[in-house]
Amino acid sequence: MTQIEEHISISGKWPLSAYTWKVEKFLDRFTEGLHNKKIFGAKCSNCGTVFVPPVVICARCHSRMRLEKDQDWVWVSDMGTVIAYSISYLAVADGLRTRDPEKRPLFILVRLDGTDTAIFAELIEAPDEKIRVGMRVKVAWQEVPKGDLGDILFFEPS
Amino acid sequence: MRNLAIVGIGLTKHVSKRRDVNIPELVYEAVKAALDDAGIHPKDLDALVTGNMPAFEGINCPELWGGGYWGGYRKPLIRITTGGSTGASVAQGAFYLVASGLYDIVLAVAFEKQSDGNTTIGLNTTALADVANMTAYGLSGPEIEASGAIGLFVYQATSYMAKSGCTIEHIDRAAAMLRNNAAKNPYAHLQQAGVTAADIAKTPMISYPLRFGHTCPTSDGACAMVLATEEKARKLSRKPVWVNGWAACSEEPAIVGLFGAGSINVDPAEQRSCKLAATKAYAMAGIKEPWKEIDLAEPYVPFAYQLFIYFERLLLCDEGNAPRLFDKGVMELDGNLPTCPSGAVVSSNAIGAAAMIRIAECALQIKGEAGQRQVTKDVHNAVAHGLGGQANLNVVTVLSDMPSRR
Repeated sequence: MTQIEEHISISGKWPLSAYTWKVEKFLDRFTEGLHNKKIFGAKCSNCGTVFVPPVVICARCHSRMRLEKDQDWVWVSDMGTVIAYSISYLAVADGLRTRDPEKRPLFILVRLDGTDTAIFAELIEAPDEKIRVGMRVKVAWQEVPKGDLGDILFFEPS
Repeated sequence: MRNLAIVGIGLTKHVSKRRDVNIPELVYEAVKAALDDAGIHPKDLDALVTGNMPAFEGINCPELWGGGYWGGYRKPLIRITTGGSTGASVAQGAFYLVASGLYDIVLAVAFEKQSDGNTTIGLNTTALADVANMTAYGLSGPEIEASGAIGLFVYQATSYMAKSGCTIEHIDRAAAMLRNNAAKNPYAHLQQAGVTAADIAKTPMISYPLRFGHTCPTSDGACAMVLATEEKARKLSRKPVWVNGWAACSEEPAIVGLFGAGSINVDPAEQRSCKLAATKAYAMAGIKEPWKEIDLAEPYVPFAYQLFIYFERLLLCDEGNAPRLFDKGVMELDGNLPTCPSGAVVSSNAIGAAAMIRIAECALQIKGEAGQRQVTKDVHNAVAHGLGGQANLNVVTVLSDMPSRR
């Protein structure tokens, strides 16, 4: 009897697109704001924490935001500070929506002024060596924002 | 609450592809080794705790098709899955079962066979959670596709470096030390004896500041441990390793993820949850000054810079001071506080097993059974760490050669 050295591998199929994720129902209002180059946040009326994008329950004090009645909506600045960053050296995967495919993409974690959360973006119009923690940046709005999350995907030095 | 100890340890040699075994057979190897080490048969077990990241292999309910291979026939069983920290969470599940008085002898089993699955697809449903789905909502997210797990941790790295004075040369040297430790560990995946910081520095940059040489491989591997009450432990083992303190804490820092703001601790290098878990675990173990009382540390280090950040967040020195202590040789095998003598996760990463192996390594070092990588100093107290999710879940365990409660 011959020794089997390698097990037989059988491929399976598992379509991930069959799964969905529900977003907060207030996201439409948030993206509508983006369409007008405005960024909405939710400010907790109990502890003052500001979330961008808005959330329904404040994770810090567990209060429910009063987003239905407008009370806890606030406008926040489109300027912010870099908390952390990365320079991607890899030839990145297909479908990459970087502005300049010739250049290594710079990614930043940015805290918008007046908020307590960080959002994730690509830094454009900046050379590699300029990027640093604490750098001031602002949203690079498109002329006509589309009204989706992609509108705040790009920042530039301010 | 009762004292408990580790009385059996089983590890498999880690490699990138174990083609000769399937998942249950791989896990069986670690289980059998742990049972043999404890000198028991599955019939002696009162319960099992098991875990891996089913999303990475793409097959759920592993106890369904594997439980028999790990001795679960007619036994109470719990499965725990927490990302990279899975193995430590599984172990802590077993600690609770024994300490609470529910069961006397419990087997903890953790594993991952990455070569049978697709970790990148799995990560889309775990570490990147909401973000992957949000691509349908305008978030085209080059950042998502950029570079897998390393794409998450680079942000922790740049933030930490800005705060601590850690340089990329420090990271090169940390990687070299860890890879040399791994070369002395027969269970470790990467075997690169004699690799130098200069060699590491020549490896290609993936995402600044992390080079290829700073990152973990994908591995197939398993780890199992037998936990027992004090009474049973003293009968089963000549040198039981006491589990004196443990805690886990999640702060949801959301490195990537628009809706992961969580408790708004947005700086991935803050790691308050690690400090909180460490504080609680040390207090439970009766350790007041960890920087003096801890003899050895096994932080969870899938990327070399984390040797420094988690040394600090495990309260073993002041924040920002770890690179300087490393420069003085403190973390070497013959150092004052040897750190990651195993070679760390950066040298072997079977994800579900990796955090349990940190605990197992501390136990082997306390027993003096770590072979070539045995540290020079006597190890009385050691701290093991696991990191899960998007660096949001920290799991800390304090082990000792003496029970803290008598």
